[in-house]
Formats: sequence, C-alpha cells, structure tokens
Amino acid sequence: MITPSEGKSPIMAVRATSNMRLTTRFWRSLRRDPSLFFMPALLVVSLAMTVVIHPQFSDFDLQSLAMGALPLAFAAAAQTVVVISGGIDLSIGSVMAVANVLAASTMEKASFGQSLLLAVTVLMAGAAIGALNGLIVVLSRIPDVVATLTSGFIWGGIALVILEKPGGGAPQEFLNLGTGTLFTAWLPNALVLLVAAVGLIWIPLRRSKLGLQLYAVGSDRIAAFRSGVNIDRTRFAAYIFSGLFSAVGGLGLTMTTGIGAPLAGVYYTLSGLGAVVIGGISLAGGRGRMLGPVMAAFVLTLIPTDLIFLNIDPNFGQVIQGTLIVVIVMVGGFVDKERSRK
Amino acid sequence: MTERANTVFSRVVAAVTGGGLVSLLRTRTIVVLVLLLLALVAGIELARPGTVNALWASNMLLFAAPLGIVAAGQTLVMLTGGIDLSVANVATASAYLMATHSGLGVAPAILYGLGVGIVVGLINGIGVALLRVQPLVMTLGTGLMTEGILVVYSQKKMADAPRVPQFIEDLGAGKSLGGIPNDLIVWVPIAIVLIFVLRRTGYGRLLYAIGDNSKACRLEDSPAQLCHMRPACSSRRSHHRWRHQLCRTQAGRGLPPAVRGRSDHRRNFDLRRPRRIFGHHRRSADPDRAEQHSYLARRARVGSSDPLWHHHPPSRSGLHPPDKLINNPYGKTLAHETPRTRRRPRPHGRDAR
Repeated sequence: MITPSEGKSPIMAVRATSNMRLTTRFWRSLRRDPSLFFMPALLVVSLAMTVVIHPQFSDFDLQSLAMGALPLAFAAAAQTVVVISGGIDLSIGSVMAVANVLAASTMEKASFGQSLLLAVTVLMAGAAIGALNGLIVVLSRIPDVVATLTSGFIWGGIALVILEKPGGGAPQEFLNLGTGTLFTAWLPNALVLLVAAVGLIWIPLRRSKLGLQLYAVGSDRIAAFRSGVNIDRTRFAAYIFSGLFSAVGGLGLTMTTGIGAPLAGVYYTLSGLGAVVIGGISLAGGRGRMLGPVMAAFVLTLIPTDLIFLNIDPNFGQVIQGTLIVVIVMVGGFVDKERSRK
Repeated sequence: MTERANTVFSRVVAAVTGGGLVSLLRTRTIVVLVLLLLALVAGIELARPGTVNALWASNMLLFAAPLGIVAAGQTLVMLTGGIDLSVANVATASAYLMATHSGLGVAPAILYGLGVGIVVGLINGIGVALLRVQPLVMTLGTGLMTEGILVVYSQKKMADAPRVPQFIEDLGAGKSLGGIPNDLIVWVPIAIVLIFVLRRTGYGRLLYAIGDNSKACRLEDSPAQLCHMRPACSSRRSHHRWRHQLCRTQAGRGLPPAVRGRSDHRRNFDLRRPRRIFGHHRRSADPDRAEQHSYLARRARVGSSDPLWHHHPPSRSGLHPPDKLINNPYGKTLAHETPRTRRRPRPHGRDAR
C-alpha cells in the first residue's frame, strides 16, 4: 500500500510550502491529498441533495443534523488519531459508552458548574482508559486489533456495571451545550462544540512535534525509528488522544440524548471506522487529515435522513454506507496506483 | 505475535518462573488455553458446587459450537494476516434466510443459508484478493451491506412456515445418544478437516506463508491471490462444503509447476505437501527464511540493476547465507520492498502542477 508518492514526510510538506504562493500551495496539497477536495464536495453535494429532496429544510433540520453527527464525528476523530499512527482502536464505542454512563449517572442532580467539573473528570477518565489501551498494545505487542477489541468488551461490561439500563440525566444548561443554539438559529451549538473541541485538541497536536511523530510512525515505522522517533511512546500517546476524543464523544452522546445508555456506544465503533475510511484516511497509516472523517460523519448522518424524506426504508442507509466505504477505498487504491506509475 | 520474544510481559513472567515455562507457553499456546479452561471450570465448581456435571458439559458444548464454527472460518482469514468483520452479520443473515425459507423444505432452506455465506464470502474475496482493498475495510463494508439488506428484507418478507423443520431444529439444538449435542456432529468434522488442511496440505501451508510475508509469496508466483480468496468465504454454514473443495483442489497438485519444480523452493519454503509435519512446517513459518527467500526471488526479477548484485553474486545453489542478507547496506528491510521504478524529478514552485 505504501507507494513512493505516499512517502512524503510531513516535515517536507511544512518546510516546502512555507514561502509559496497560496494557489500553488492549494494545488500541491490537492494533488497530494485528493480527499481534501473530495470530502467537502461530497458533503456539499449531499447537503444540496437534502435541500432538493426536502425544500422546507430549516434551521431545525440543521440542528438535528449537527446533533446526530456530533457523537459520530468524535468517534471518527478518535479513530483518526490512532489510524494515522498506524494502529486501530476497536474499543472506541465502549469507551464512549463508559463516558456516557459516567456522565449521566453522576450529573443527574448536579448543578451546571458541578456538571462541568464532572465533564472534565470524565474526559480525564477517557484519557486514562486510552492510556491503558496504549499500554496493553505497546507493552504486550499483541496486535492492536485484538488488544482493543478485547479491551472494548471489558469497557462495554464496565459501562453495564455503572448503569444497568438507560437512565440518569444531566442539568438542562449542560444539555444545551449540545442541543441548543447560542448565536443564531442557523449555528447549532453542537457544531460549535465539535469545531471547538476538535480544533482545540487536534490542531495544536498536529502542529507539535508529537503530531509529526504520529505521522512518521504511521507512514513507516522503521524509518521513523531510524530517525530517532520513540515509537512506543508515540503510539501510546495516540491511544491517549483516542481515549480523550472518545470521552468527548461520550459527553456529546449525553448532551444530545439527555440520558446515559450503556449499549448506545457499540454502534459508533464501526461507524466511526467507516467515517474514517470514507474521510480518506489510509488504514495503512501516516496519511490523511482530520477534516475528512468529521465531514464524513455528517455525510453518514445525512444519508438515512435523505432516505426518510424520500420514503425509502432508512435501513438502506447501511447498504449505502457499506458501498461507499468499499468504493472509496477501491477508487483511492486505483488513484494511488496510477500516481505511483507516473 | 508469538515470535516477538522480547516483550516486557514475557520477561516479567520469565523472571517469576525461571524461563522454562515461558518457552513452553510461547511454543504451545494451546497449553495456556487448556489451563485457562480448567481454571474457569474449577472456578464455577467452587462458586456453585454441583454445577459441573454431564448435562452442564453437554449444554456448554451446545452453546459453544456455533462460536467454534465461526472461529474456524476466522482462523483461516487471520492466518493470511487479514480479518473478517462481516462474520456476525453473515451468520445472522444466513440463519434468517434459512428460517424464512423453511417452507420450501429442509435442503433448500439449508442451501439458502449456505448461499448467503458463499455470496458474501465471494464478494469479500474478490475485493481483498483481486481488487486489493484492505480486508478490514472490505469486510466492514460488506458486513454493513449485509446487515442493511437483511433488515430491509425482514420488513418485507414474512416467514412462509410457522416454524423451522424438525430436522434443522434437531441439528442445531437437539441432543442424541444420551446428551451429545448434535451441534458437535457438525462442528467436529469441520474442525478435523480444518486442522488437516492447515497441517497436511499445500493450501494450509500457503495460508501460513502469506501471513508471514505475502510479498515473498507473490514473488514466488504462488497463487497467493486465489489463496486470499478462499478463506474469505467464511460463514457459519458454508465451511463444510468449501473446505472439502479446498482439499480436493489444493492437496499437492494445485500449485503451478514453477513452485513445484525448483529444488531451492522445496528446501526453503516448501509450499507442497510436507513430508514431515513438524520439521518442515516450522521452518517455512520462520520469517527470516521467508525474507531470505523473497530476497532471492526479487533478485531474480531485478537482475543486475540491484546494487547488491555486485556485492553478493548468486551462489550456485541459489541460496545466500542469511548473515549476508542481514548485513546488507540497506538493512533488513530491503527484502520487504518491491523493486521501485525510477521516478522523474518533479518541477517545483509555480510549475508544480
């Protein structure tokens, strides 16, 4: 899968583009990473289709779209960090479930200030769970698919222990962070929260040394090792950030549903992975941007909505999702092959 | 995963137990599993004395059989380094289709169930082996498709018989001969065939070889692509037929003459039926051997354009001592890389398009 054209290092990309024209930079990044153009286009097309199908598209529809996509986008973001570092995390859904039930069971009678404190605690718990996953993967050398799949079972069970059946709650002000609108009706809080959380965590990470190391380890582990990157530490860090994003996703799930449900998270593991794949992240690692998977989460949320508007069984959405995943990866493979042949 | 000997975990265990146990457990994973099973059974017996008896054991086997059959299919896929995420969905679809078509009779109903597995497995195989989609992505996609289609179908189609035929019910849930679950009668032959195929046939050996180093396999001209395709066909019910077919086509004769005829192949990476099960088998699964061999195959392709050609001209036997390979100026990774074509230098700056 790793072809010469993929072997670009992030260091080169940063240095070469620093004093270049904006248009040149645009075309170069487009050529390097077609998903940069493709994902926004897909999102715009699916939004346009929704408006055509459903001309009464209003601010309410936008709000419910943002609310529906919020947990999925965070799950995709969590998966993206690990996939870029060359691993995979199949415990994301369970970690989201743990965060969700932790938040919902403790916040039920809390004030807004307390619930914010609790949210920070949940985030730290998520990072700790991620760290534990990372430790297992790095120390035991069990392949990450197996390690995270099994730890996912464990966390799924713990979520059931914390909250046996759907219940709990959170103060209304806290829920409003994910459901209401603060500025205008066309700017749902869920969207603001998503952009803020992903931006605050991911952009500094990507611009830091650790971010470069993540890409380096993902694109070629041996080359990264020979360049002096501490591989174990980098992969460990990737799992911590994955746990953190999963916890944010769990909180998002609490905000949008208003309750904690121990089994609600399961869906997000594979859907998040689907969004990552559709978003143009190579599962071989070392390539891709955060924008793709987050937008793919919106596309995946739009598909069933459109089907409902069209009076088609929304369960066809899964079929479309599966087809999209396979077709996009196949087309990406062909494009890579053509480019490396040049 | 087991050949990575220097893990912290195994070092800790070695420090505690003195090393002998670690090497035993590392070479014989099954010992660990049996010990774990015994410990679990003992735990149940201690927690609720009197639970463990013949009826309990027979019930456990009854519930374990479907999982065991699915795991058998997954084993084949994972040996090649892949994974099949669609097994759960395929098993569900298979069961549902069989149940809703049970009005047609026993044989057509079972055929419907098997058909789902074969169709989805074939799609997976084509995607993974021929179109080179990563197995994880491909099976995730087909799993979602299967599930979606099944849900839609289940809302349209009602069962055409009040219940599944007695024969199918007995096969899945019944017991015979005083408590032996009938599941076992399906499971045990599948397991035996699987173990036979993996240990005694060229096909099984190919599976290990691909998992070790699929690039080397491809360079060997072994039918690696076809090999990927077969195990991807893994559904609960489809194993039986599929495995039989494999045995027939692959036992020694299915491989192309290029692989069969060359002496160094036979010595190093024997893809044919093994003469001695253990000796040959272990050697072929040795990654260093596979790497060395892939280096040879690559050199044969690249010829004199390989800079190492001048340092280490091919010996008469076609074999290099492994240390020459390991000490090459490119390091050990060389053997993994396919020959690259020379790339034109790209223009920079404004002409970058």
